[in-house]
Formats: sequence, C-alpha cells, structure tokens
Amino acid sequence: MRILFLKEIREALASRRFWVILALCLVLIPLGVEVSLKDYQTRLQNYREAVRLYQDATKKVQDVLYLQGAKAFAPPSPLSFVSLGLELVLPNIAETPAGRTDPPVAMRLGNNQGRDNLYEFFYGPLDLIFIVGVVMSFLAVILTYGAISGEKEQGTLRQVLSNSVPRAKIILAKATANGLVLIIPFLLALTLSLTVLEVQGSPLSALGGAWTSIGLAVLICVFFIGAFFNLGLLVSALTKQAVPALITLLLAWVFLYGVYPRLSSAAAQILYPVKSEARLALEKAQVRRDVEKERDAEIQKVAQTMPQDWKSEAFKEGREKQDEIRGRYQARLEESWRTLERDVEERRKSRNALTANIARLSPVSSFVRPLAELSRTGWLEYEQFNSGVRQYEAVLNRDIFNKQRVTRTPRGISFSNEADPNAPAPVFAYAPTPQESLVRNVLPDVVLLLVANLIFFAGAFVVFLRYDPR
Amino acid sequence: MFKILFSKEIAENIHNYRFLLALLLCLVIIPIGFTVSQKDYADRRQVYDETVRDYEQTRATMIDLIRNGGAAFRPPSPLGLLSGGVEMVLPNSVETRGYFSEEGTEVTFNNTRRLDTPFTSLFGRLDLTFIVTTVMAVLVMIFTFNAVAGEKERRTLAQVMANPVPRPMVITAKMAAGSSLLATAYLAGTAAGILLTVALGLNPLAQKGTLAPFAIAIGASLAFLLVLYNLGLLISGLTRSSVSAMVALLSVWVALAMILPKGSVVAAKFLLPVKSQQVVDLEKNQARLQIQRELYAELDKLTKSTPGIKDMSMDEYFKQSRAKSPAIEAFEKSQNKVKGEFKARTDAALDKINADFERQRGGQAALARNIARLSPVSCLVHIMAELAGTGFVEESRWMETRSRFKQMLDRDIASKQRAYTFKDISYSGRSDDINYKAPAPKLPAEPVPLEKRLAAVWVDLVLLAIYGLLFFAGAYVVFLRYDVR
Repeated sequence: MRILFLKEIREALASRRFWVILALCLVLIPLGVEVSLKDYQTRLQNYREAVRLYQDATKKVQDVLYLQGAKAFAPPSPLSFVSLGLELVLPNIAETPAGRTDPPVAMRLGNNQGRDNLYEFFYGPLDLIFIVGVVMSFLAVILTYGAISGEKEQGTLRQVLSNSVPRAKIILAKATANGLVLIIPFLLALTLSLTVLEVQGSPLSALGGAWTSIGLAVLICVFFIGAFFNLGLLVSALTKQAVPALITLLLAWVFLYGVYPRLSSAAAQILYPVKSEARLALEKAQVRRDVEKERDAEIQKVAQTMPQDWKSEAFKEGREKQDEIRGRYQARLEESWRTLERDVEERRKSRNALTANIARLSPVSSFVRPLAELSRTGWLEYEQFNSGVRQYEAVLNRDIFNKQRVTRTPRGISFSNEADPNAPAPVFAYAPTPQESLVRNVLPDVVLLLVANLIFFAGAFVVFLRYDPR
Repeated sequence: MFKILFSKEIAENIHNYRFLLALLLCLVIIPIGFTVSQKDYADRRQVYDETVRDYEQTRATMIDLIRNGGAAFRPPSPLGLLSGGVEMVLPNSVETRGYFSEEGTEVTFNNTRRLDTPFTSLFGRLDLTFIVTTVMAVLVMIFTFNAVAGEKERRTLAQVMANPVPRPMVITAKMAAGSSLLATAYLAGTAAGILLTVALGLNPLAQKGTLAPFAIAIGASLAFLLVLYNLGLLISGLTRSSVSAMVALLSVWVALAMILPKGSVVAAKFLLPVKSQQVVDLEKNQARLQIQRELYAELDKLTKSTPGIKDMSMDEYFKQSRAKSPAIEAFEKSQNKVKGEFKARTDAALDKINADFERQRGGQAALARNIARLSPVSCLVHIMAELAGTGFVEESRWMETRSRFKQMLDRDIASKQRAYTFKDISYSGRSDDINYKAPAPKLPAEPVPLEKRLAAVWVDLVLLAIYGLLFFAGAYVVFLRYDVR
C-alpha cells in the first residue's frame, strides 16, 4: 500500500497538475480573501458612517417624530469573504417614515447596498464559495477523470493488475494520493490567507464564534471538493477512455452546479406558492383602509356631537370616546396584520425548507446554502435581524407612536403627541444569530456531504473491484 | 469540395451523438427555463396590475394623493426570461408619503421582491443568459475540443491533408458544420420554449414591443456561440491532444465567464472607490438639516426685526392673522422670500452632492464594464440584460423616474404648500391654488425605447463580432501553419 501510495504521490507531484493547482490556489484564495475583506471593510465603514450620522441627528424622541424617523441598521458580516450570500439582497436597514404617521407604525425593511454593488451583484463576488465551488470542483474533475479510465486506455492498469496487488489498495492509494494533491494546496493557501488576515488585525475577533464557523466552513469545503473528487473517480472507473469520462463529468458538473439548484428553487415556488411581499403589502394596505374607513365613520359621529370649547367636560368626554374608538380599531388592525404576516412567514418558512430539501440532492446546494448561513449572510441572519426589528418597532410604537392623540371636531382635526419630546430616542441593538443555531442548521448538510462522499467512493471502489481487464 | 467536407463534419457530429445530446439538452432546459421565468413574471405582473389598480382607485383626486401619498410603479420586465440581470435589486416603486411640505417632496425607492425568492438569489436564475453562457458553452466545448486536436491524435488529419484539399476549406467546413448543428439545437430549444409557454398561456412575446428585443437577443446569443466555437477551434488547433484541448478550454471558459468579470469589479472598486448610497443619503439629510437650522435662525431674526410684529403677543398675532391684517400678510410675504432663497440653497447643495456621487459612481461603473468587455461572456451578459430590460439602462431610467416623480409632486403640490413661523409656532397658510378635487397627477411607467437599449450595448455587439473574427482568424492561421509530420 505504501509503495502504491508513494507511486501515486510521486506521479502526481511530478505532473504539472499539482503545481498548477498549487499556483492557482496560492493566487486565487489569498486574492479572493483579500478582495472580499477590503470590500467588507468598505461596507463596514459605510455602515459605521451611516449609524454615526443617524445617531448624531436622532438623539431625542422629537427627532424621531419630526425629523429623521427611527432607523435600525445591521452591520455587514466579517465572514462575507467565505460567502457574500444574500448580503446585497436581504434587508440590512429598517426605517419608520419620517414625520407624522398614524399608529401602528410599521418599519420598512430595505437594502440599498444593491445599488452600491450593482456590478458585483451582476457578475457575482470573488468569495471563497466561488473559488471552491467552481475552481476547486473543476480541478477535482481534471485530476480524476483519467485516474482510472486513462490507465485503462493506456493499458497500464492491466499491467498493474497482473501483479499480485490487491485492487482495493490500488484504488485507495489513487484516491488518497490524488486527494491530497488537491486538498493540500487548498488548505495551504487558505491557512496562508487566514494568517495574513490575523497579522493585518483580523475583524473576526469582534464576532463571537467566528473561528467555529470558519472551521465548519473549511470542513464543508473539503467535503464538497471530496464529493466531486469521488464522483470523478466513479465516472473514471465506469468509463473506458479518458475523454468520455471528462465529458460526462463536465455535464454532471453543469447539472449539479448550475441547473439542479436553480431548478429546485423554481420547483419549490411552483409546488408551494407563497404570497409575494408585494401582495402582502397590497393586502395590508387594503385592510388598513377598510379598518380606517369604519373607524373614521364612527369617530365622525362622536365628533359631530362635540362642542367647540376644548375646556368643556363634553369636549373631554368626546375626546376620550374617540381615543377608545381609535384604540379598538388599532387593535383590530394589528390583529389582522399579524394574521396576514404570520401566514406568509409560516408558508415562507415551509417553502424555504422544501427548497433546501429538494436542493440537497445536489452536493452543490449542501455547500452553497450552509456556507452562506455560517458566514451570516443567509436567511437565518435575515430572520434574526427581522425579529430584532420587530421588537424595536414594538418599543417605538409603545413609547412614541401610540402616544399620538388625534381629535376630530366639527371644525377640523387636531394632532398631538404625548410622548416626552426631549426623552432619549430608543436605540436599536443589533444581535447576531446565535452560533448554536447556525451550527444546528448546517449539520444535516455536513452529514449529507459526507454521505455523498461515501456513496461516490463506494461506487468507484465497487466498479473498480469488478473491472474486467480482458 | 466544401459541401463534402461540410457533410462529413455534420455526419460525424450526428454519429457520435453530440448533436443528439445538444438537441436533447436544449429541448429540455430551454423550455423549462422559459416556463419558470414566465410563471414568475405572470405572478408578479398580476400583483403589479392589482397594485396599480388599487392605487388609481384610492388616489383619484389631488386630496387623495395629498392624504395618502403617491407612488409610481415599475412593471416587471416581460423579457426576464432572457436575463434576470439586476432586476432583483431594482426598485418596484418610487413612493412618497402624504403631508407634503413646501421644502419639497421626499421620495424613496421601495423594493418588495427581496424576501420572495431567497434561494433564487443564492443559486441563480435559470434564464437564457445562464443557459447560453454555461450549458451551451459546455456543449460548444464538447463539440470543439477534439475537432482539430482529435484528428491530430488519430492521424486522420494527416490523411486528409495528403489529399488535394485546401486547408481553409477544411477549417471553414468544421466551423460551419459544428456551429450550424449547435445553432439548430439552440433554435429548436428556443422554439420549443416559446411553444410551451404559449400552450400554457404564458406567451413571452404577447406584449407589444417584445418581439424585436427577443429576436436581437437570440441573434446575439447565436453570435456568442459562434465566438465560443471559434475559440474552441483555435484552442483545439493549438493543442496536440484532445484532453489538453478540453482542459485548456475549461480553464479559458472559467477565466472568461467568471474570473475576468468578477475581477473587473474588484479592480474598479480598488482604483475608483465610491461612497455608499446610504452614506450619501445621510449626508444629504445632514446638509438639509444644517440649512434648515440656518433658515430658522433667519426667520427668528426677521420676526425680531419686523416693526409691529416683533412686540406682538401670540394671541394678538393669530387674531390679526385671522382678520387678514396687511402687516401680517407683509410679514408672511417676507418669510416666503427668505424661504425661497433657502430652498434654492438647499436644492443647490443636494444637487451638488447628488451630481458628485453619480459622477464618481458612473466612473467606477464605466471602468468595471470596460475591463469586463475583454471577455465575450461579459459582452453577451450585458446585451441580454439590457434587451431584457433588467440591466443598467433600466436602473438609470429609475433614477430619472425618481427625479421626474419628485419634480411632478413638487410642481403640483409641495411648491404650493405654505407654512409660516411666528416665534416658536409654525402654522400652515392657505394653499388656494391647489384644486383638491382635480384628478391626481400620474406618472405611468414608460419602457425604455429599444434604440436606447441598443445604444447602450452596440459596443458589446461590435466586440462580439470582432472576437468572433479574431478567434476564427487565429484558428485559421494555426490550422494553415500546422505541420502534419
């Protein structure tokens, strides 16, 4: 076994392939990490500047009410060099409208980073997920397509098998040696990049559990490269010549990397339709209008009976009655909105789970999604931000917007807000997704990738054992 | 002679199942891609139509618009099946809340699509651009990698050359036959896609003005396939074995389709850094608040220096105001003059910030785009996105729409609002020149004319032609210089 292993290693090291892989890894990975990090630093600077400018201008409740509105910001993720994921798409800012608004005020989620990074969105980022997903998986294919089929074609396999060498040892030696040729340059380049990152003053220390995420991400990357490597071995064992093996692998790559994940997302949309955000907004607006129409009709009746003198008891009584009506209708509106939102949220959650499960049949999907989650640029991070925003929204409504008092009189309408205008404005506190949730979320994908490796390798092993050299 | 060579190449590609494979893939993937994109479009279009209808019903008159705020909506692109482009991050609408003030209308973009399809954003869309630049590109590699190198390996090329066959004819026949077969498979897939969508009631060409851009996009993608085909022939001619040709082709494709375009953005950001929109918006707000503070100080000075007004009590002031006292009217007029001056100052300051930002941003974008144009893949991707109405021209159009929407509301409503200040109290004046019962102004969506979209991509179209010629010339020369010994 040792001799076979050394033969394969020597062969791999002597070939130009190893050095090309090493050079590619040493150029692309540090470049990708450096570039993504620089990009992250720009986004971080912009985020800090935005928060500073907002906090300078919004110190008191009156600033929220009359000038800026309230805003909540989510910082960019320092792990975006692993995967930029959905960072340019999913919301990273929430804001209430500036100026007077009827309660309950709903914070609107937005993300204007898309416009800042329009070309990046268009072409895709140069993050680790791209380097591993495209470059390393291609290298795995190039390294393996001829590993067995090439030897069959050249007739060298027949010679090797004519000696008293157990077949299992041959394939194990091939897999281990070629696997190391692929993985060592990758790990070397990644270690170098992370060391440079640390020397430069790593932004990762600010994020709790960042190194756990990186460790898991590296494991997923290794399993992913391994899956394509073992698939390569399997296809190589199944074919008699190198060229058909390469073509089959190329088509498999296109299907697994490009077509299948896209199809899974489309299939889930068709199988499990969910109301779009635009429809939800439309329905919420319609509900609000209906509720307010009824409310205003009831208030109008009270207003018509009220005297002009605002100091009179009858006026005060009328105003209290109006407050009670407004409170009642506001509760009804909030309940209707909650029902609509809950329904969409639940269906969306189920649809996302369905998409993830369909997509998991391809090792690519078990690689892309978990890496985005671990980088805190995925759906979990959005859910975390959204839940923080909803809590902040509740505080804003409770402390500021619900204190608005609107009184309708036969002559017109008057607005006042009873919140203390000089009280400090509530501040949004960002909390990142807990590390345990991330780990729990990606574990099934780690297991699936491992299973894919085992299945492909077992396939290659069995086919090789059953190979008839005649 | 050419006919014989052409037929031989056609027969070879049919016998080795490559054409069948290409045809099968095109007939499956293109119709699925079209159907998925059109279904998504139909759903979004329905919501768009309902939203616009709802808006028009609830904003019939000027008073409705003033109370509820206004919006202009961007319809989804009917040709999104060509390219998803940057549509996901484009706004769905530009909006303003009600309660307009004389300071000007505050308008914001709104995007409601971000949460709808996170996995599509993560994995990408199955649009025609992806199919052409990835699936078809791989098919081109499979067609070309051994077109010359394989014949060298099998020594059949030497046999062919031993006959009195002109070499230019051999390479031209290879190019013409292979690319015709690929084009046939591609066109068959596209036709099947159209037929399927028509059968499902999702015809992408039903909307007016979609046929011409669709036809140009198909033409451009055929030209792109020819460019790649010629590149494949060139690389196949340069290498001695099929496997080396395939590995080289794969590497060149990854570099052209992925690394170069991504690298162009990196280089442009590094060479020409630009602030973020968020920071610019906040800077604008800060500039506005600073001028507003100065305005309040100026108004305070005016109150304290106007004879007859400065010593007036609050009750007396409003009593005289209701009685339409000439002194109060003159004071309000003076306030209007001061406010007019400050408004002009604010507008100038904001315009300057905007113009600086857009200039820097435009410079960065132009640099990224020009570097990316070194790759024919980027050229095609841009052509498809602009023709689909999901590209950068559409984004610029929406920046213009935002300005037009703001100007419209400023002209019809905000500029007619009057607010005055006396000591610490602000009060509204009369806006007699607004006809509250008049129909509310509207800004219907106007698609970008085809000429404008073509103007944005003509360089890419020309570049595709140049790349095609260059690669073919390269393949031709290499083939002519090939030493059969």
